Amino acid sequence: MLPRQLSKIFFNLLIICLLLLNSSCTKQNFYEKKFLVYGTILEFKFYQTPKNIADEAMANIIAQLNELNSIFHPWNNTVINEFNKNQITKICDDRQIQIIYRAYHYEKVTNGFFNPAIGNLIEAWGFHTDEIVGKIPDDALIDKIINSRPSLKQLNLNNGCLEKVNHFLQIDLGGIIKGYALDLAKEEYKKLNIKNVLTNFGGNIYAHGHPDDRFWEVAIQDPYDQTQLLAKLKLPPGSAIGTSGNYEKYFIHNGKRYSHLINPKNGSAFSNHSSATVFISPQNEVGVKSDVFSKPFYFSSDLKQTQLDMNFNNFFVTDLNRNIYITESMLEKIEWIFEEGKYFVQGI
Amino acid sequence: MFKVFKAGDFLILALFCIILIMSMAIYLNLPSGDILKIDYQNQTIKYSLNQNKKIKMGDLDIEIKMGKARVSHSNCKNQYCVMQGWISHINQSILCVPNLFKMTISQKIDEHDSTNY
Repeated sequence: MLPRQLSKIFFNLLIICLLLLNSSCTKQNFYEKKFLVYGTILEFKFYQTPKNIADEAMANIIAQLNELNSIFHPWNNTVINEFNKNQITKICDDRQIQIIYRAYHYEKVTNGFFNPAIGNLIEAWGFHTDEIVGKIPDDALIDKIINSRPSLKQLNLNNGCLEKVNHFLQIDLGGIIKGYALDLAKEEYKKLNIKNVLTNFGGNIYAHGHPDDRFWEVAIQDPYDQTQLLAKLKLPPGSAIGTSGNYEKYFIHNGKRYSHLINPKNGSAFSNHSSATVFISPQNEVGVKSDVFSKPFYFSSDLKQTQLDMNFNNFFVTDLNRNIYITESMLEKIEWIFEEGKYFVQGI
Repeated sequence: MFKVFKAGDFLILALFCIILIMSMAIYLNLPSGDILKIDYQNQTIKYSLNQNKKIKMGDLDIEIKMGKARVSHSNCKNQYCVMQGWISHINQSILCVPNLFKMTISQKIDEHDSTNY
């Protein structure tokens, strides 16, 4: 009888082991990797992509990001920094000029709420350092900068080179470069014929394709509590999501929170909103739009008006008093996952 | 004494050992979860794992004990669900086919692919 009993025990154990094994097989088709690029986290999640092709795509994207940073990083020793400090007076590289012109395009689209010409304001608030020091700048300095009406309009193209008209102007592409990076990634995936990958660069997410029979699904962080989540959203292939929030880079002075997002209209680092999230349906420059379009809503004092000005509907905003203001079209896409009673959701 | 085994038995034994080692290796790498999701008779019920609780579902007794869960009693014939003991890691599950019962450990929020911030 012994062998019979033994094999019965073995058989039982075998089934238990198979159950254990089954529990960990659900992730086998995904390939995930995380990098730190100039202090910003870059995450990839590939679905059914050969590892060597995924690796090649990631290496190419990171090489391009490093190149971008070596030109546009606002406080390291870069071309743009020299131009800002008037150490060089011209930018003549075609690609650099092209990127600056795209930024100018979006400055116009957002009616100046995204302003790539306010590097000196961001510096004045102490955000042009690796470690945030934060300082309340003199009103006189802020007034002086605001009164010079900084805009990329104050650049002239002369014989194929960009020159400053306003010598006080400082270019800072920090508000667009993450989104631009997502668009670079999109091009790279097309080139390598990669079908399904989710890319997250510093919180901005671009959904390329979809995994198996579902859409990529992302969670949105709770602006009050970074350990918690606020909502979930399914991203159709080719779409993107971006958030501007006061909880990433900030300092607190006299109980007031000052964020690295500086309002270009009044030079203030304070906003009545704690975050603004935008969903961009599949279209051209989806990455850049996910980065830039959140700014007008973050700074807006009249959301309805900003919605009309921007002719853009897919967004929601959280304020400092636990209110969430959301459009109808965004509400259809989102699923709240915060604890009941924690926020008050209202239509715009 | 080895007479009782046949060649095939050793093959099964070897296979069993390989699967055992693989399962253990994977099992030890799974992160622990904080929600117990129960699918029973076409309904899904979720419990926090951070509590001590005994739940009765038909002829099944389920026990939650600070971060882990098990089926403590079942009326089924083979008792596989009881034999499996405690589970605490994400995606681990216990099935009881005769009772159409399944319980799975998951993260606080149902899985998502990435986080926007």
